[in-house]
Amino acid sequence: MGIKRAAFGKASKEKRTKPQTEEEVKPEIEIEIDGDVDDEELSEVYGLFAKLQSERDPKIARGLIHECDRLLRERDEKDLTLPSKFHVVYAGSLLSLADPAIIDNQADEFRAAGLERIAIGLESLEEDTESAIVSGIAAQEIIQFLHTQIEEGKVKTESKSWLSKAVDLIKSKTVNSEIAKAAFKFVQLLEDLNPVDETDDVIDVLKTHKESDDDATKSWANCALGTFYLNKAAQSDSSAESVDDINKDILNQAITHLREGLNDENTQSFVMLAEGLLQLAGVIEEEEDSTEDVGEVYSEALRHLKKAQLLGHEDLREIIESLEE
Amino acid sequence: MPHSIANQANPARYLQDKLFTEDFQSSLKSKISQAKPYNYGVIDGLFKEDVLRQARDEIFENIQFTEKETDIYKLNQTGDLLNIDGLPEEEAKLLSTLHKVRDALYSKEMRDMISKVTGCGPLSASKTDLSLNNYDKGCHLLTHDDVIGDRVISFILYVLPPDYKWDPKWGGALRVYPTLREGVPDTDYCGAVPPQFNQLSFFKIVPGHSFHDVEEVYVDQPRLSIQGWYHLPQEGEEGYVETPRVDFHTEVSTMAQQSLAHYECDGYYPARDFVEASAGLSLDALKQFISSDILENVDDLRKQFTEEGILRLNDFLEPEFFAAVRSEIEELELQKCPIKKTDVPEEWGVAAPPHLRKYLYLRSNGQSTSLQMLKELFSSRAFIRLIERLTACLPEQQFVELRRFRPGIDYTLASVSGFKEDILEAVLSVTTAKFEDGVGGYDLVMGGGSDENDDPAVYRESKDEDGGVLLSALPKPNEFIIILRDPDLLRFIKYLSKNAPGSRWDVHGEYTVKPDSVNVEVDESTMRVD
Repeated sequence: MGIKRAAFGKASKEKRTKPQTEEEVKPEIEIEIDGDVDDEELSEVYGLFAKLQSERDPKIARGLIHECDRLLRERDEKDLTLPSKFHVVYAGSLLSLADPAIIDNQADEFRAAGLERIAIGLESLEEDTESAIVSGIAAQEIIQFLHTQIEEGKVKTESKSWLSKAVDLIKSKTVNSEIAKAAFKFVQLLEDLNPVDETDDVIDVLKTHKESDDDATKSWANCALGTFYLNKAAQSDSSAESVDDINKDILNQAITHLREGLNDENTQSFVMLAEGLLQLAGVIEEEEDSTEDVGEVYSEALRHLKKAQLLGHEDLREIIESLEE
Repeated sequence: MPHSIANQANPARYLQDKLFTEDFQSSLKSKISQAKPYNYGVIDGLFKEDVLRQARDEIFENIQFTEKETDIYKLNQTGDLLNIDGLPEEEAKLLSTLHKVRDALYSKEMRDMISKVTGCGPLSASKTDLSLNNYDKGCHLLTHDDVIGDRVISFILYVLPPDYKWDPKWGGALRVYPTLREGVPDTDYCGAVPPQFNQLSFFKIVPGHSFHDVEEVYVDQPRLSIQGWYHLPQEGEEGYVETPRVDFHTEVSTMAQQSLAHYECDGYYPARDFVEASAGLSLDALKQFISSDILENVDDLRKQFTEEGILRLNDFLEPEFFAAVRSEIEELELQKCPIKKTDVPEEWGVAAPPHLRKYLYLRSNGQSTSLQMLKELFSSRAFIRLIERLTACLPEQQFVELRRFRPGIDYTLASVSGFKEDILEAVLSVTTAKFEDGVGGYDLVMGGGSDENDDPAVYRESKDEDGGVLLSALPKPNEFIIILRDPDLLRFIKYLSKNAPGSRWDVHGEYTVKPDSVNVEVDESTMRVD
């Protein structure tokens, strides 16, 4: 018996997923299959898309586009209809490559194809729970795409119309965690795109769901509200350029929401709370007569950043190290 | 046929003229003699700059690197640069400047200079030994002393991006370790030389003393180097001595050094004392700690183990107990991670020496924390009875550790079990951080290579199916793995990148097995705790 090579080798080799020996073996991407979907191929596509959403890795996007294209042709030949979520996922994959920083010469093609595919996905939405989730994903992808446009300095009339479309999606459906997450991305967008007419509508939606029974929805709603107030605290004086100008009351309001939003499934919630606390620490340090312990505030911010890192958030080591010094 | 540069016209002309002045050499010699913990030297601006720039361009334009990862390193490497002599003329032309760099490094003037400033005696002209190593993000080389064969001097010439200064925060430094005594390096390094373009770092190889490592490169920057050795004069060369010196570890790999290691010596921690199981837990009490799914399916699991020699069980600990363990670990993760030996709280020990292993292990202190309870659980008679039922083997003595592997610091190098017979080895991961591929921290079991003709420097090159990987497991919360381990199997925990999301935490239990007890008939009536 024993963990002997002959008996054990076969089973264990199948589990190898990384280049751990001298031979260069390219790892396969490990994905979590979406267990709620019966269609195995679609389930794999959705699982891979979840990975793309967290990692924004162009390699994953390319793989997804290839697979979506294959599925589209295959099902078309068999006269089978694909669900709206498929089109939105395909669109999200295309739009993630609509960035000249990734593919300089084809970014516009991906952009056009992605927006066209989003439109196809939205056409077939219905008034059911699944469609509400798909709406949230579609809104996130549109907003993510608009972030790229803003970074490129390409805010056009077309962009504004897509922003309105995203806000309509946030407003019109039963709120779920995907919609709340889209609202969070919308609020982040406001940092670069202010003022936006629809802001009040989105904030109203968030206020309605800040105490949702669904943990994920509650987390993203509070995270979005907290982020909104963080921005507002810094902008309460239009000339705010230093911590002296940050409105501490609004900042505390932001932190209250961000604390409410903490959730292990939402690593961003820990990062945003840490950001709020770091702003607060900056304000306290500037106050001459403050009795608050700024060391404790920094220490709490650091703990939240470490927690986010433990939960798998993208690299925060630089800021963690700087706070530990 | 050995490579010879003797007939080439003044290959040293590409080196900076300053190297050959009396002032420079005496100043360098003085610095080297005073360097601690052993004699190493650094020369900034070794080559005339345009030559090294040109060589760098040739390298990136024409040379393919192969990514290599073993227990002791992760890097991108080329073959021996000696091979460029055998290239067709057209291809050799593409690397002509690199050729000049190699020949300058082994020129008489350079060898004489190195010999003089280090006092190492004559060096071989014919035996060149160097390759290109590109350390990009995550690459590293763990602690070792470089002693193989007749190497005398180890050197690294940095060919970094020439137009900006390398930030020491990016990592990639050559770090030197003091020794507690011959062959036993201390846990913490005491000196670090951050790399710079056109810098040569070198040291005399002293068996049992010249321990060093290459700090992980933390960022996306290419730490390219030409790395090699000067050897003793070969037969027919001036200075040749017929009987080579007898080294502490002559002609053995680091792997072989480990099997020679004496665990009971000072500087080897933790003491690997195998003892009888502790009493204190009834079989019934296991229900508080082990998932009922496991306890209720022991017979099926035993069947599986008997067939496969391994069990991998998810959700091993009972959820409430695991939550308590997890919470304690998370609290420790959120505190500042101790880095140096002196920072480590007294309830933890540092596993050593670092050319074999480095991690923290929990000392037994009689406190009733969840981590202490977990460690005691693995040492208890009731748990050993459970292992007996799961494996159909009769465990006798045990050695249990609760370990923490810190990002950017810890690892174990591949080692055999040290027993002549099979043993049972169990690992329960209680890691809380979410690990993915690419940051190390995985547990790997592989067949041992015993081919005497293997290059001793490449001691973990898998050349056939038989010597391949048998188990590779990333840390996964609450996963229990138990194997019946052959004496010649190698196992290690891969170095955790500083970019890992947190520490790897596990309980590691080794259990000797009563001779001839493998695959015993399990009689449930004997499953009692005395």
